[in-house]
Amino acid sequence: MQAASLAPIWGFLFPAKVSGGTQQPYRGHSLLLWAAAGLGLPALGWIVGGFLGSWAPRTACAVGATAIALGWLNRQPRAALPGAVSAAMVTLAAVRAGQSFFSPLLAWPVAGLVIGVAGVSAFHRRRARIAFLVAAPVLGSVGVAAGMAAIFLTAMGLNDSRVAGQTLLGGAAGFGLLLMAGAAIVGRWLDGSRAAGRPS
Amino acid sequence: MSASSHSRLLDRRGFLGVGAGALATAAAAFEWGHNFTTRACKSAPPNPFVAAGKPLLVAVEGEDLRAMLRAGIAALGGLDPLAKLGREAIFRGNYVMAQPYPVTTAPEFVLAVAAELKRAGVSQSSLFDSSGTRLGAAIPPERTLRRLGVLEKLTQGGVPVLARDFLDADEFVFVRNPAWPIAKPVAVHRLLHEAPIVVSLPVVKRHQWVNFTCALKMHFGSVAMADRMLVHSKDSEGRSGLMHQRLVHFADAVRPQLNIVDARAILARRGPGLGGGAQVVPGVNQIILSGDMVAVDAYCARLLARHDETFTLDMVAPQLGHAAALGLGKADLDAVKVVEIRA
Repeated sequence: MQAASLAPIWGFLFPAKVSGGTQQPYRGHSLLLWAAAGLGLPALGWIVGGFLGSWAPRTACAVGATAIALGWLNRQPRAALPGAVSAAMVTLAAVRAGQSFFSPLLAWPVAGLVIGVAGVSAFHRRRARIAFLVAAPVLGSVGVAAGMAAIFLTAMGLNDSRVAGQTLLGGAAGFGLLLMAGAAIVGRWLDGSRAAGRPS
Repeated sequence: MSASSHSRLLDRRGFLGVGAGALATAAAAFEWGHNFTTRACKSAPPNPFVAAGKPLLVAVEGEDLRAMLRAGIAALGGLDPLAKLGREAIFRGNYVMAQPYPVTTAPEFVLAVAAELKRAGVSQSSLFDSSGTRLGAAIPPERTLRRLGVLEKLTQGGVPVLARDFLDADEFVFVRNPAWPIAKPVAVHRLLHEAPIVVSLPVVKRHQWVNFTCALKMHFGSVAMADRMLVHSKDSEGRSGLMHQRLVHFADAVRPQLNIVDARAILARRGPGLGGGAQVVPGVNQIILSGDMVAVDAYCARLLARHDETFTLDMVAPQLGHAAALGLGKADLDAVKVVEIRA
């Protein structure tokens, strides 16, 4: 009963295709790969950014890593690098602006918007492009908040300030996770393009 | 692009296996990394201010701050032992909120102590504080000090102010003392961990959760906000004993060589800020000097009890007992050489 109810979810997350009457595992990137890349690469970027300085380089590197992950999974490596560099530079500027106006955390929705603009070329249909453009800053912001909350609640549960000290790392991972998962879902539902993990 | 060019990365079982493995590896790497970077608490030299094998505590009564300081330092035997440790000192004040003395350490007190240290050969003194973050433009680290006028007065007086971000994990060092009953390390600020000389400049106050704030509790401001928040969230009213224990660990992570309490006035009945029934008691007119922060708190708790009928010594017993058990100092004033003078 439970397996039957979960089947559509598994089918969505781990798509299979029917060929010649037999079901074969899907040969493209699964949604979970997008999510995993979205979780891991921005976190790695955040850690690497720590060698360059504090909030600003960390945020810029995490955003750049997200852009690279998006380009990589869209099989657009040539677009990934300039997209990552431009997203990182805009993010740096947004962090600087945020330090004197409200908060450097404002850089995250700005970064989501930049990645949304840069990422529209991954989609073929207009509706998918518009949806991703609108969704990217929202998903990025929600991801940052959710990631920070998840890490902090974990730290509370473990009573461990070492974990609490990584709250912003959790925000970076949450940003990438929701943004990348959002890109995959938008492509899968609205585009049928490479962004959905389907072969072009 | 042909379908064959798309390698099938993983099936469901493989993906879950790899995911679980990656998660376990990441957790292990995190634990290993933190264990690798967690240090012992700083090795502070033995209390240099002792008499006949007992820690020395000097209480000076008077009205002229500089005269009181000089008399106190003389009774302590001078500051030469500090000057031997280095040429630079870091002051820790209490700047919990933007309210004037006795809620916070008075800037003239900091300047007076800096002048005495300079006379003793400690050429440079700085004030460290961490009560804000650059993650909020409205609460930068120097905000409280600026609003109190401390930043301006100390800068003009030649005492640089080191206002640091309490959320910036890169600024802190994880330290742990195996004797702590709580195994988790504490993130103490790197500047305090590495400073050759730390001088605490506490004030005497009631505290609504741990009853009393002086030389031990003030080191809540020496650790990362993550540590402060965890303690406050786990023991919001100080009932479980966690806050009493952890504040001692925070003080252990700093281990100042000298504590000079400005008790010219104290905050009674409620604290750590004004309002809610808190009452400033002026005219106490004392400063207390000692290298033993537990003895300082034991003495100042008695001082507070004399001016605040709502405060009793048993209220501070848990933190003093824990600090004494960890070897941070003497909670029993019979084991302390107390010198009371007038200047």
